[in-house]
Amino acid sequence: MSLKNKISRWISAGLINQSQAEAILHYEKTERPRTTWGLSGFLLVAACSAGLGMIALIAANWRAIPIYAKLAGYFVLLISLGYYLLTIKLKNKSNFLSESLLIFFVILCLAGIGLISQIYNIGGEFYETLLLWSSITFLLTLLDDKELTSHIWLTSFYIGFSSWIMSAIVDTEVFFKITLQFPVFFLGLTMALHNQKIEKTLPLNLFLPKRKALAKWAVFTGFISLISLNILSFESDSNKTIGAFDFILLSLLGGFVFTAITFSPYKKIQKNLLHGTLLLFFLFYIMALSIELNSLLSTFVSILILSLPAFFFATFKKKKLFGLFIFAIAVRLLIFYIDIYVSLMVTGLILIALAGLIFITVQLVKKNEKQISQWLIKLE
Amino acid sequence: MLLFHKLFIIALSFPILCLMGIVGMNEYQLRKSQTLTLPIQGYDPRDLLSGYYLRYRVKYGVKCPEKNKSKTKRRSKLAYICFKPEKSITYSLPENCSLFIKGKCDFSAFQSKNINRYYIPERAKELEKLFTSAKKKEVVLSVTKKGQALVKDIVIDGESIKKLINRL
Repeated sequence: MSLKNKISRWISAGLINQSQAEAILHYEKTERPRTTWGLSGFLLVAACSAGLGMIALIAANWRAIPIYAKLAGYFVLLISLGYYLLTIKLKNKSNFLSESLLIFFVILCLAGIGLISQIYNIGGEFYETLLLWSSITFLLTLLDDKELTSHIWLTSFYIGFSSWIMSAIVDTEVFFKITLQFPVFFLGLTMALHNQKIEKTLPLNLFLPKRKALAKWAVFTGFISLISLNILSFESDSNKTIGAFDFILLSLLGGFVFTAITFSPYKKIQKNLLHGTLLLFFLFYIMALSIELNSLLSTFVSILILSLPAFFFATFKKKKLFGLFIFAIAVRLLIFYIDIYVSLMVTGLILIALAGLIFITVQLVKKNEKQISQWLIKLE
Repeated sequence: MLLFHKLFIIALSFPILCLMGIVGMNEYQLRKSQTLTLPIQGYDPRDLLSGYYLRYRVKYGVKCPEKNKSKTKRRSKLAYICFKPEKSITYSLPENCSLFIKGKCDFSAFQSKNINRYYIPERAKELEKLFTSAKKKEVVLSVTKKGQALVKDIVIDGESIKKLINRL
């Protein structure tokens, strides 16, 4: 909506008067510095073009450049960039350019690993590169206040760690067992960073983006784990084993996350929803890894696991996240329908019955809204 | 200086020092380790962004012994190939062996990391022809006391691949 339309609405609502509206419009036209995004866009294209051109020139003459010149050039670039970033930080003059250059520094570290590998003909798996890169850039990621660097780091760590597990262990069940617990681990870290003591001791601009990134990864890896568990649950139980390793893993993780949620500053109802999600997830994990589940039970548990976080985000009025989980529930129901497809007639009756059930539930909730609100307040 | 700034200096220096350390380690290994020349076979060129890797298989001349029955389900097992005094493959660190390479046995074939490819800058078709038609192809390795090997050179019919590339 344009500013003029917004101002008209504000005047109609009695929030501002005509003279205030004119003052706002005047300020927006003249006083506020305009970002010349158009020109900046062209400059960005020019910078990218120059950068790509330089890379192409170097690549064309790569053979002619002696090995030690390549290494020297790389380290001069890396050290110069590091020094520039340090001076910016010391003067507290961070801007869009310095933030972009920090991400470039992180990516340059990965390029350095590739260059060294090329010069010394070092082989090895891609996950080794990713894990090395994650290790050397971990502290820098912790100290950066941008969410993007956390996402870059988490992506490389997640892919590197998962690939390492897959290559090191032939038994795919064990791979699933460890990577399935990533969402729980990320959830635990997110909750731990919600601790009030931590909020008082660490700078807010540092750990807030980390918390947001971890929360998003908890949701993302949660979906991946739930899909994996659903696939596993349909496998026959003759190959499934569940033993001491699983219970130790669940106990340690469960203890950590349960405690982190308990000491988080959320309301009681929100904590209960998270605790419930965790318990259901562990229950589904044990069921999927020990017995062959039928489609109905698997669907029912999956929907329960998805419903609790949906309600959790609803309590924060996070519409998009709530919608995402409702969509996931709908997709799961669709998969169930495809799985048990009997006939069009039966399908039609089931869908109508489902719609009726949802309609009646919504009507009941609307009718008893006050009592439900009071009950929720009591739960807090 | 604030604690944060000190930590930031460490955070920026750490990757630089690590990468320099890796370069230093590799340089030391190339210069100070024992040299070993082994015949190679096979050829699998692949185009990369600015050149390609020459991939080959090292002919060790000896197969992995039958694996002991193990409870683990790993498909490959840590192994060592000894070259001096005599060629053999063992699953434990070889005693009285002055030159050995650490690797793994994948079924009956011994493999070691870092020695199965050599970087060739830019596409060199003539090199491909030379390599496939060559009678004698060898890899020159530098091997540390701990059994880690790095490729120093590839020798095609008695001539270093670096000289051949410069001539192309």
